[in-house]
Amino acid sequence: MRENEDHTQNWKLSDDIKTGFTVPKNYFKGIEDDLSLNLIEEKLPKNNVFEITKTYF
Amino acid sequence: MIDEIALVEELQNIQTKEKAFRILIKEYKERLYWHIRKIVISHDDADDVLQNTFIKVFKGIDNFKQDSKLYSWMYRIATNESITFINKRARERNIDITEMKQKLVSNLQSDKWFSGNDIELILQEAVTKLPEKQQLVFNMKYFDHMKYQEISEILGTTVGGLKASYFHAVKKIENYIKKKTH
Repeated sequence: MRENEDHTQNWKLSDDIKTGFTVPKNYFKGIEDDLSLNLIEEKLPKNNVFEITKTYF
Repeated sequence: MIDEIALVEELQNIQTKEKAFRILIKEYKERLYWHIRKIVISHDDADDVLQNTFIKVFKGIDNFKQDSKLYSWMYRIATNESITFINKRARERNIDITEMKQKLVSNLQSDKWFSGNDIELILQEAVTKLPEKQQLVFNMKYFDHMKYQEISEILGTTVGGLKASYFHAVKKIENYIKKKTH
């Protein structure tokens, strides 16, 4: 019991503790392509160019 | 190691912008991803925030004046995007930001993109309980091994202030882990 208390007192954060986060396999390989696609989408006009007659609905 | 000044010139030239942007993404994607991931916790959210960060970089690069380093500027954008993302999520759920962060960490145990052990899970809990500045400094210093000077350029805080924040963060984390493990 005494030993446990001493150990608790001396607890120190060590570099061995990591984030534990992981990513899907090959995730970083596809980022450039995804982003290029997003940038192309960003450049496309956002307005709805289709029109209907006023009383259509 | 890339030549940042030359890369910025290419990024600011319409003829070379897209090609240079791919080089920029290749160079910084992993570092920025892990920085974002530590703030937003989930992989899917980190992926969204990373995309938004690079889009902001692409749109804003013409106004980048080179009075700070390119990576510091991008880290700042990534940090702001991550914090904005968490705040937005908290607002949508009508809870405060601390509660939101705790919610994100509590989902980690069932997260397929988290393979940490008990201590690593407790460490994430402890980090989310820190005030925002301490959390950022801790992540950049402890996990990313960044120099105080680099962190200072990103967060706009003095090196002395950062050292104090890191010291307080480590003490709080140690106490939290001690309490949880004994």
